[in-house]
Amino acid sequence: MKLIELEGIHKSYRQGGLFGGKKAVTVLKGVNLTVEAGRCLGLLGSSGCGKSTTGRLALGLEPPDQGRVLYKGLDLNRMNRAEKRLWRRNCQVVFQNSQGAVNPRHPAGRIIAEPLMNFDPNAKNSRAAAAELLKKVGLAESDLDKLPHQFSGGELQRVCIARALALRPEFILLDEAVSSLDMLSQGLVLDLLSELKRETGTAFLFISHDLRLLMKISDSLAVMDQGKITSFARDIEELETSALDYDSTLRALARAVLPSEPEAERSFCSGQ
Amino acid sequence: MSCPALVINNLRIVYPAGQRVILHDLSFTVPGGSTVALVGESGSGKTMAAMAVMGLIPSGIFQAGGDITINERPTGNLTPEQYRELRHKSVAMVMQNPMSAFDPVLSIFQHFKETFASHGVRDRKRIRDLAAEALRGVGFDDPRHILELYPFQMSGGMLQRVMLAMALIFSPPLVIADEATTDLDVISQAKVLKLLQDHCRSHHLALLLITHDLSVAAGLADEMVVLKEGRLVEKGPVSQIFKSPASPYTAGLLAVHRGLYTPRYRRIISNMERQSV
Amino acid sequence: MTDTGLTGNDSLILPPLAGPGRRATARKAALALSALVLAGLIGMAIFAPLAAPYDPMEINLEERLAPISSRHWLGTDHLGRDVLSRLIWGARASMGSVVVIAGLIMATGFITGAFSGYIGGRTDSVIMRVCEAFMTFPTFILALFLIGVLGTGLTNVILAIVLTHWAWYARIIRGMVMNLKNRDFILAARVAGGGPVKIFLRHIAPPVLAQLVILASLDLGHMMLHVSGLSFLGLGIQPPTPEWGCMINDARQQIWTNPELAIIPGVMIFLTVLAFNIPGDILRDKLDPTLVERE
Repeated sequence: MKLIELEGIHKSYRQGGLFGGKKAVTVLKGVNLTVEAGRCLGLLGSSGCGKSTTGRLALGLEPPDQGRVLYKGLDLNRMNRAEKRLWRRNCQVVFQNSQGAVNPRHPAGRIIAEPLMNFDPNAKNSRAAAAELLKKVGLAESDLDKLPHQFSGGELQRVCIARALALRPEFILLDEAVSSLDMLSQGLVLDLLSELKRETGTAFLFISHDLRLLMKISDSLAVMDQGKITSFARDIEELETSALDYDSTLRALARAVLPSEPEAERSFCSGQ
Repeated sequence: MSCPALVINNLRIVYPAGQRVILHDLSFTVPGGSTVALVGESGSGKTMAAMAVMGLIPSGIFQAGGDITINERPTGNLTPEQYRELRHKSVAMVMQNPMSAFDPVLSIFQHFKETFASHGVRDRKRIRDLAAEALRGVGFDDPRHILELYPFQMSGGMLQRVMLAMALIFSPPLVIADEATTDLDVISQAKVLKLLQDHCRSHHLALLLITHDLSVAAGLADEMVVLKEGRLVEKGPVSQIFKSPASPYTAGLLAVHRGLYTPRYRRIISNMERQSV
Repeated sequence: MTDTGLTGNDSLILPPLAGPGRRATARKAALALSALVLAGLIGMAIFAPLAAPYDPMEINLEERLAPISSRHWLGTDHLGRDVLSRLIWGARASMGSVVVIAGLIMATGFITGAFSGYIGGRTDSVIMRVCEAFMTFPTFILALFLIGVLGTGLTNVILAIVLTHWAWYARIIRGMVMNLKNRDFILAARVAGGGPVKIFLRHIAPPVLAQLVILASLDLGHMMLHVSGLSFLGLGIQPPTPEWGCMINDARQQIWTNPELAIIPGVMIFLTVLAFNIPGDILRDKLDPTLVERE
C-alpha cells in the first residue's frame, strides 16, 4: 500500500544576502517518490542534493511550491482536521543531531512522553509508557530523569527513536539518523531500527549519504542528485543484477566509500 | 630513515575535579612520513591525546605524567610561547568542526595572513599568491574569490578544505587530523582524505588520523593504535591488526565495521566495477 | 564531551589538588557582597517605616545642617530632616520605581518581541519598524517631552523610561525567538503533534524568559540612574518625597559647606547600581549556553 507519495514536487528557497537581493535557489526539481507501508525506502545522495528537504516535505513541515504530498492517497492540503490529526500521529521523525533535536532542559521521560501528551492530554500513565519505550530501545528506566547532556550521542539518539515510536506511527523519517554516531553506536542503532521494523511493521524513509548503511536496512532505494531522483529500485535486489545501468551519482557515492580492508588485504579495489 | 615525528611516552592526563583519569600511560610513536590511525570511540581519550600533543589541554585538565616529543624536540619544559612556536613549526591540526576554528569576523585572506605572519611572511602580495596556490591545491577552482569570503558564506566541506590548506601550507613534519572528516558526506570525506594523503606522501609528512571509523584506518593508515576508555588496547601495523586482532575489543570493532560491508553491498560494488571495465 | 576554551596551559606535572583559582574566589566574594548589599537595600525599602528613626518629612529648622551625631547618624539636611531616614525611605522610591519599570519593560518587550518573532512575515516587519521608531528616542529627550506635555511626577518618569527601553528588549526577544523557532527540536515538537501555542509555551518561552531576566537585571542599574537623574533634574519625583536623586538636587545649595549631603545619596546610588550589575554579570556568564558542563 502506498503510504506517502510525493508527486511532482518543486521547492525553492530564497537565499537572502545581507547586502544583496534575494536569489531563488531551486532545491527540488520535480521529485516523485513513494514510501510503501511496512517497507524501508532508502534515499541516497550527497549533501546539498535536496534529500533533507524531501524529508521535510514528506512530513509536511513545509509546503511544496508545486506538486502534492499524499498520505494514503489524501492530499495534505485537502485534509480535514480529523484526517490531519491521524496523519500527524502516524508520521514521525528522527533527526541527525540528537542533541539539537531535543529540548536541553527536559529530561528523557518528558521528551519521550511529549507526543503522547499532545494526543491524549489525560494520559495518566505517560511515565510508565515512556519507561516501556526506553526499555524497548535498550535503555534503562532509570534514564527517565536524565537530561540530554547526560547521555552519549548514541544513547540520546535512542531516546529520540523512543520518542518517534511513542505514538506507534506507520511511518518514521530517519534523516541521517546514524551519521553522527561513532561506529559502535551506529551499529547498535541500526540493529535496533531493523528489529523495530520487523516487529512493528513501520515504514521508514532512511536518508543517508552512505551506501553501506542503506544496503543494510533498505528494501527499496532511490538515488538523488541536485534536486532530482536519478534512479529508483523498488526492490534492492534489482541492483544486484548486473544488467542494470548504474547511474553516475550512485557510482560516485559508491566509489567514495573507504575500503573495508587495508591495502595488502583488499580483494576488490574501491576508493583509492 | 627520518626521525619519528611524534613520540608519546606514558602520557597520563587527569581531570582532578571529576576525579577521572582521561589517559592512562599512553605510549606510541608516529614514524616520520608515515600515517598512523588513532582509533577509539567517543570517550576513549583520543581527542585529549591530540590536545596534549598540541599543548592545548583545556583548563581544569592536567598532564600528570609522561612526555611528548615532537620531531625529536621534547615538550616537557616548554613555556606557552615556546610551545606556540613549536606548534607553528612542527605540527598542524585539522579539526572536526571547521566553523569553530575560524574567526567569523575575519575573511579567509585575513586568516591566512595570521598564519603567514607567525612564520615571518608579511608581504601582502606574496601571502595572496601563496594562499591562492594552497587553495588551488585543495581543489578550489577560483581561489582568489575564496580569499575574499567570510566563514559563514562557506559550507562545512569548503571550510574543511580551507583549514586543510592552512594546515599544510608550511608542510609541518606532523599533521594531526582530529575526526576531520566525521561531519562530511562520503564524497567530501574522500576528497579531503585524498588531499591529505597525497600531500603528506609527496612531502614526506607524518599524519596522525584520529577517528572512530575503521574504514579511515583501512584506507589510509600504515599503523594503528586502538584506545578504549583512555587505555591502549593494542597497536601495530594496520594489516596485521585487521588480520588478527590481539584484543577482543578490537575484534568487536572490526566485526561491526565489516558488518557494514554486507554481501549485498559487495555484490553491487563488484558489479559496478565489472561494468566500468 | 566537548572541549571549551583552548587556553594554553602549562603541561607541567601538577598535583591533582589544583584549586579553582583566584578569579573564581574573587567572583564568589563579589557575589556575596552584592547579595548582601541588595538584601540590605530591599530590606530598607520594605521595612522603611520600622527602620527609619525619624519621619523623613519632618522639618525641624532648629536642627538644620546638623553634623553626624548620636541622634542623627548621618546628620540633617537644610530643612532639619534626618538624612538617614530620608535615605532609608528613599530606597523605596528608587528601588520601587526601578522594579515597576523593569516589570513593565519586560512585559511589553516580551509580548511584542515574542509575538513578532514567532509570527514572522509582514506582521513582524511592521512591528520591527515601530520598534525602530521608538529606539531612536534618547531617554532624556522623550522624558522631557512627556513631562512637558503630561506634567512632572513619578508616573511619567516611569512611562518615559519604559517607552524608550521596551523596543530594545522586544528586538532582542524577537531575535531569540526566531533563532529558536528553526531549531530541530522545534521541528520535532511539531512532528510530535504540538500546536503553535503549546510549542511556544513549552519550548520557546522558558529559555527566552530566563535570558530576559538576566538582561533586565543587567539593566537595573542603568534604569536606576535614569530615575535618579530625572529626579535630580526636578522632572521626576518631586520634593519633599525622599529620593536619592532629589536629595542630591536639594543638596546643591550646600555643596561647598556640607558636601556630605550630596555625597551620601550619591554613594547609595553608586552602591545600588553596582549591586545590581555584579550578580547580573555573573549570572550571564554562568548561564551562557555556549559553556558546556564537563562531567
